[in-house]
Amino acid sequence: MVLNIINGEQRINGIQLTGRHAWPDALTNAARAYAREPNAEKQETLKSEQRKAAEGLVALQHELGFSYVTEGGFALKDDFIPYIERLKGVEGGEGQINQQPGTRNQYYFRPFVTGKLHADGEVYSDYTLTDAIPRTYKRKLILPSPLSLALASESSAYSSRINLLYDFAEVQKKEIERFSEHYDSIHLNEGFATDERFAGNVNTDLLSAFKSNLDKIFRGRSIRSAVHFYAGDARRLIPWVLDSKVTDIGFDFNTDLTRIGEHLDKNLILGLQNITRKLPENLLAEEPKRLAIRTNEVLDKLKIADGVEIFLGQSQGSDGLQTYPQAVRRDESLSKAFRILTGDIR
Amino acid sequence: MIDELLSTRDIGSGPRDPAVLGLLRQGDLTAEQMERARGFIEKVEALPKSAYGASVRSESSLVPEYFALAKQPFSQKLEAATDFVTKLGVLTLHNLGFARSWNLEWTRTEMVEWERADVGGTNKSDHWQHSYGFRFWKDAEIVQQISYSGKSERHVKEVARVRKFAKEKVRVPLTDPHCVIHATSNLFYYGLELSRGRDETLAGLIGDHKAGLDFARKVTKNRIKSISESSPQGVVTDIQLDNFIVACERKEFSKDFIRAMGLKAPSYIELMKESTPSYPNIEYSNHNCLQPYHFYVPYVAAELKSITRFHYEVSTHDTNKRGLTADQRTGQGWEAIRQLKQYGLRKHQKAIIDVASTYEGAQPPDPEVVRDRILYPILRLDYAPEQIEVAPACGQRNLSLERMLEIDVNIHRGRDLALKQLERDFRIDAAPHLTKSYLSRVKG
Repeated sequence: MVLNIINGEQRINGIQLTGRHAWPDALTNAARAYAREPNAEKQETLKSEQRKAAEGLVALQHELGFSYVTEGGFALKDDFIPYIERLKGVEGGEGQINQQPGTRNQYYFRPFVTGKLHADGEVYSDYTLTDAIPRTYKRKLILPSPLSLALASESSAYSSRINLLYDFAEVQKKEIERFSEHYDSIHLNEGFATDERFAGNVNTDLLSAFKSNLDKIFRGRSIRSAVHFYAGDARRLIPWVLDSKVTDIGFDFNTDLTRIGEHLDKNLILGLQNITRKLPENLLAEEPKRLAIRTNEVLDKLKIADGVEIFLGQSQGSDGLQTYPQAVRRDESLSKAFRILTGDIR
Repeated sequence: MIDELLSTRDIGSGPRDPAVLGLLRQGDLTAEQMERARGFIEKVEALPKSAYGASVRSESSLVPEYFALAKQPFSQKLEAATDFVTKLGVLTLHNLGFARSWNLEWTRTEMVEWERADVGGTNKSDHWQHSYGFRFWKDAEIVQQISYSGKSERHVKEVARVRKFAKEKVRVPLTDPHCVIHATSNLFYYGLELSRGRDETLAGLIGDHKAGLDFARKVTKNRIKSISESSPQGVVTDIQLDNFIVACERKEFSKDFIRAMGLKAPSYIELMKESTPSYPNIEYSNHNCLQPYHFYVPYVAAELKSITRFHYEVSTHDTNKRGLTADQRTGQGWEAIRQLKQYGLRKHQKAIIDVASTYEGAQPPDPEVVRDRILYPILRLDYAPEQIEVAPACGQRNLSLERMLEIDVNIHRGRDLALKQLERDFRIDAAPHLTKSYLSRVKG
C-alpha cells in the first residue's frame, strides 16, 4: 500500500515534539541526590546532567529529522515551577494536582495566587537550556498557555479568573518577547481547558479573553506560534484559536476528529501518537505503520485549507509517562511514521 | 462486636519514620533516631488508655525492647522486629482511641508494590519515571496474563500478627484491583486489544478492565478467602479496599464508553463488585483518595451493596472555619457525601468522614472544627448519627510521629464535643461512647 501520496501530493510536512521529554536515568539520579542533600557540588552535577540530557535529545531530534528541535524541558521540575518560584504574588508548595486523565502518577504543584501577580525580572530563562540547541537548527520552545495557568491556579487575591488570565498573559507576553530572538517557534500547551475538572470554569467570556490575549502576545511577531490542546476533546476550544493571531494549532487523539466542523486554515500539529501508554515490544515495532495509516485516515476527515502545513506529533510530552528508553523508541517510531508518509521507507 | 457511636478508625499508613522502620532494614539506627523513637513510645504510653477497653497485653514499657532490638544485628532480629513494629502500631491506635486495629502499615512497602506479592505476569521496570518536582518512581509492567500462587501467604500472616496484639476489630487495607491495574503499565492486555484492531482508547479501557477482572478473580478474591478461612471462629474482619486513582481515566465513566465496553456500570464499579465476595466473617469498607468523586458516586449505593462504609476525602478542600453552612463545609468530598445519601445509601451503610487533613505540614485540627465536620452530615445532609464514622485523612505517612499523635488526639477531642452536642440535641446517652480522657477531665 502506498500510504504517503494522495493525488501526487505530500500531505505531511514534518514532525515535532509537543511537550517535556522523559528524563534519562543519569539526570534522575542527579536530581534525587540533589533533593536528598542540596549543596553546591550536587547542584553542579545536576546542571551538568541537565545539559547532557538536553544535548543528547537535540542530537537525537536532529538525527531523526524533526522539523523543530526542543531542549526537552530537563531543567523544569514541572511546568508551573518557574511561575511559582519567580512571580510576585504567587506561592506554591502543597496542593499538588493530578495532571491529566490517563496519567497514572503524574502530579503538578498548583500555583496559589495570594496577591497581584507580576514579574520582577526574567521568569523562565533559568529553566530553559536554549544554548543546547545550535542556532543553525530550528528551535522550538514549549510553555504552558496562560489559560492553563489561570485554570490550574487557586486564588484568594483575584475574584475573576479572567483578570488572572490577563495578568498571566502579560507575564507570558514579556517572556515571549525575550525568547523571540532565540527561538523560531513558540508553542503554548493547553491541557486544562480540555479537562472535565476545569471545564466548568471555561465559559465564553474566558475563551474570548484567551483569544484576545493570544492576539496581544503574538501580534506583530514574525515567529511561528502554536496552541496545542491535549488530554481531552478540544472541539469547542478550536474556533477561538482559529480566530486568533497564532499561526499553528495542535490537538491530540482525544479530540473527536470526525466531528471537527471548522475549516482548518492554520498550520496543524496532529498529536496522534498516544504517549500516555507504553507499548509492548511487538506493537512498538508495528507502530510507525499504524500511525501512518491513522494519519492518512484523519487527514481524509478534516477540512483543511490549501497551503496549510501539517506536522505529526505526540499527544503530549513523554515526561512522567514513559521511561527514557521507551520515550526514545517512541521518538524513533514517530520519525519512521513520517518517513513512511513521505515515501522514504515502506 | 458492635461499633461505638461515631467510632473512629485510621484509613491510611503511619509516618514512614526511619526511627521505627529502621528496625526492619539493614543498617544501624543513629542515636538521634533512637531518641526520637523513645520520645514517641513514651508519648504513646502516656496517652490516656482507650475508650474501648483494657490496654494491650504488654503492660511494661516498650522502650527497653526497642533499644535491645535496635542494637541487634539485622539478620537475627527480623521476626522479632516485625512483631515489635506491629505491636507498637497496634498500641498507638489503641491508646489514641481508634475502634479499628492495624499496624499503621509499617510492615508494608508501597500500596501497589505490596499487592504484587505472588502475582505472576508483572515485572518491575528498571528505569525511573518522573512524577513531579523531584519525585520519581519505577513502575511495574504487566507483561503476561496475570496469575497467582498465594505461596507466601503474606496477607494472612500479617493479619495473624496484628491479631496477636489487637483488642479491636482488625481492619485490613487491600489496594483494589482497579487501582493496582491503573497504577501499572498494562502492556499485555492493552497490546492484546490493540492487536484485535480496536482503537487506542477503547483498547486501553477494555485491556484495563480485563486485567482488573483477572486480578480481582485470581488475586483479590483468593486473598480475602484466605483471610476469612484463617480467622478465628466468630471474629469479623474489616477489609478496606483502597484506591488513589479511581478517576484517572475519565472516559471509563462516559456512558458511550461504558456501552462500547459492553458493561452496565463503569469498570471501577464492576471490579469492586467482583472484589467483594460474601463471607459471614468479612465486612467491607472503601477508601478513595481525593478525586473527582462525582464520576462514580451515583452508582455506589445501588451497585455496591456488600460494602458498608464509604470514605471520600473531605478535609483537604474544606475550610478550617467552624460552622455548619455550605460555605464553611465546602469541596468535592462534601459533595460526594451529599450524593452518597441522595443516591440511596442504605440504613446499614455508613459514611466515614475524615475530619483532619494530613498533607505535609498539616496542623492539628481545631476540635470545634472536627465537631462541626462530624455534625454537618447529621444536621445538614440527613445522615443518622449511626451512619457516621470518623477518621483522619489518609496521608499520616506525610507527618512526623509527634504530629500524627497531636492530630489524632484532637480528632478524639472533637468527637467528644460532637457526642455531647448529640446528647443535647438528640437526647442520646453519650457517656458510654465518650473517651476516658474526656470523662476523667469532666469528672476532675
